Amino acid sequence: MSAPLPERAKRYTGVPPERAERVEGSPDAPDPVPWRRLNPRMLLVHPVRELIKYLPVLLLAVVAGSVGGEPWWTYALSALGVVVGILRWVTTSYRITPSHIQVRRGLLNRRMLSVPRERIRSVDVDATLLHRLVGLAVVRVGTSASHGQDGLDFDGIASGDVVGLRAELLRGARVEARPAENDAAENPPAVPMATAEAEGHDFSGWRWSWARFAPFTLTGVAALAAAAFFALQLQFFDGGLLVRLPIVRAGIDTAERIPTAERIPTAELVAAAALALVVAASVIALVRYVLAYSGFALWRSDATTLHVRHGLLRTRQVTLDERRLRGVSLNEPLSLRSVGAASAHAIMTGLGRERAGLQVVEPAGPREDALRVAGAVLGQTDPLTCALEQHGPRAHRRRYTRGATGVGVLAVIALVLQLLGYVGPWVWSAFVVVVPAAAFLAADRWRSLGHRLLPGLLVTRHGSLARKRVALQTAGIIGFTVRRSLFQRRAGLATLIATTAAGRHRYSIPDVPVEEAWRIVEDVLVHEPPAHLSADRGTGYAKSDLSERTTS
Amino acid sequence: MSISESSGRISRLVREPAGRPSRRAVPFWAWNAVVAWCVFTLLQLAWMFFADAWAGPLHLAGLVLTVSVAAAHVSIMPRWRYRVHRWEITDDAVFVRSGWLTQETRVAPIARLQTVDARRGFLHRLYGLTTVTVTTASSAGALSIHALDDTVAREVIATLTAVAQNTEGDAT
Repeated sequence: MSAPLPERAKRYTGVPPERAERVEGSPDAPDPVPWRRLNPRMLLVHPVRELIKYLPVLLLAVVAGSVGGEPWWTYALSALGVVVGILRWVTTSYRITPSHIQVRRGLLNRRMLSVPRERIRSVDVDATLLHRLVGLAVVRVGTSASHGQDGLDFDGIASGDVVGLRAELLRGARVEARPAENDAAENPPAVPMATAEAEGHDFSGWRWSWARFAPFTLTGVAALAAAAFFALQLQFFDGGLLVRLPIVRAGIDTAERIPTAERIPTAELVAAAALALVVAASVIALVRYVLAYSGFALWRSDATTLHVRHGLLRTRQVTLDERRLRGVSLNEPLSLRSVGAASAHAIMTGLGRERAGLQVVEPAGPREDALRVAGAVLGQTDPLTCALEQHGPRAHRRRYTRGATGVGVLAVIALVLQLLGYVGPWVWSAFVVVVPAAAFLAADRWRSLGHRLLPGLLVTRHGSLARKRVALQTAGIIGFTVRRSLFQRRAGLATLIATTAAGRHRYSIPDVPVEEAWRIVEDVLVHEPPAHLSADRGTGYAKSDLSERTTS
Repeated sequence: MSISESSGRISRLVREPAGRPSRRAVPFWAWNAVVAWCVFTLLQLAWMFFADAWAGPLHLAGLVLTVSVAAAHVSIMPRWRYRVHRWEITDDAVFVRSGWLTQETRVAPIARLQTVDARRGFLHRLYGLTTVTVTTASSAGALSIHALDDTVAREVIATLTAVAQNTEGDAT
């Protein structure tokens, strides 16, 4: 996509850069708000952070032994990193004026970011262990249209000041919500965001015992896949570093001592390897769950402000403007479903890049709790439990043909590997498992597939191994894509994709009968025209944003 | 808004937008494909050169395969694309249909447009064509009207800019 970055930047700052520079010293700001610095304790954080960055390399050097010592320039780079960190602290300053947040940074390339306060959508207080040790936190500001760019970070705010800063940031965000109070905005009454800190009733229901569901999430598998990728990268791009590790070397030596004729994986061996992988994935998932979600709490301080707090060593507290909520998703991967569990995400705009528009509102836990919380966030439970419209016999058949295609591809791969002599004929015994598994998945995918258009909400559910039910507000739908492959056209089906600025930016209804797809497009765009329902009216920046570019 | 007035209109539009690409789009797409296939073939030849395998049966088979797929692609794709590609801009929304094997229809309400982007690559200019892309606040929501006549493209851009001036809010 050719999303023109210059325009985005302009939208982001609200004021064109050249004008933004002038705002600072302009005469129409007679009483300039003083510039503030980040907490000086950051000067302690930066060197340690640099050290940590090189820790894996150092550890690897110790373990591998023969890597050949770290060249001097590695240390020079570390030192440079520290200097850059210190310079960053020295050159960064910020201030919060009645209308904007402004951040100045950079030594040679002085840069000022200026964000109108009414564009603030969320405030994320992130405290890594390192930050907590010195009593600091990172305050991240999510703004509208911040997807795909650096949000605004205040890296290094004393824990004691966080509450005040957050309230200050959010007070501006409130102004937009109540246009009637615009006049009072200059001298905000004590009421609006002072309540932001008021501890509401935690309705997440999180308990330590929920950690038992962690092994059934897919995080452990994902971590193993990442580790495998890292290992392959070591092997192929870092000069075969992997085989030089003593532990790997020993393993290979053992394997090579086995005569070639006996190198057929026995059932026990396969089972043991699988078990080892499952245990490893479970442990990783459990550790990650406990670290990330311990003490999970979710509460509302007023009708439209949602707070989420979680984390054991690294704590996060996110304050969200619920008027930016565009929907919720209920995640029920097959493994979680098998133990009656689920997790829930809020689909929002303005969460910043790291979260990609998704905020966990319930980590893996009992299904009833996930349903209850997702329903409470959405304001209604019905879309999460209602029966869905199925997609008809042709979509049903397609689940099986696609499963069969997958098996066919595996069969071809197996055949080629066998012809090339990499594997023996025993490989075909695997298909005793593969074929029923594919059939089961196809059946489950069919059971999961469905959609429903409720007043103001588009509900879609699909998938099996990673099944998701998404309820998306039609007011947040920016447009539709109806995609039809050659096979879908022959079957009279289509994939309907609703595009939105929130969450994953695209939510699809696969293999829906094409007439039904047109009907949904029409219903959403005609009966609920976005311009009338939009909660975004009155921000008044669209005009200056739309600009022409010609590139050649 | 006329979208909300006539509920039958949008289904007509979404199925069969009226505008078509320029007639010159057919040779343009063909040459685009030819260039891409030439690059691919050259890479294959370079591989044969460096592997010193001018007579390798697998290499030769690969080359023959490439050339025949390329010939089929270049002869079929442009005309097929021309039959599929459609676009239309109303007061309320932009409609675009594109693709050939996999076809896509995209709709975006004018109220949600953010930027208009005109792209004229080297081949575009040779044929006097412009591709107009409009983006929305969704990274998945960009619409491209491919291979428009330069003069038509200028009108399209002017229209889009004008209608979008009158709207606000992009759902972020």
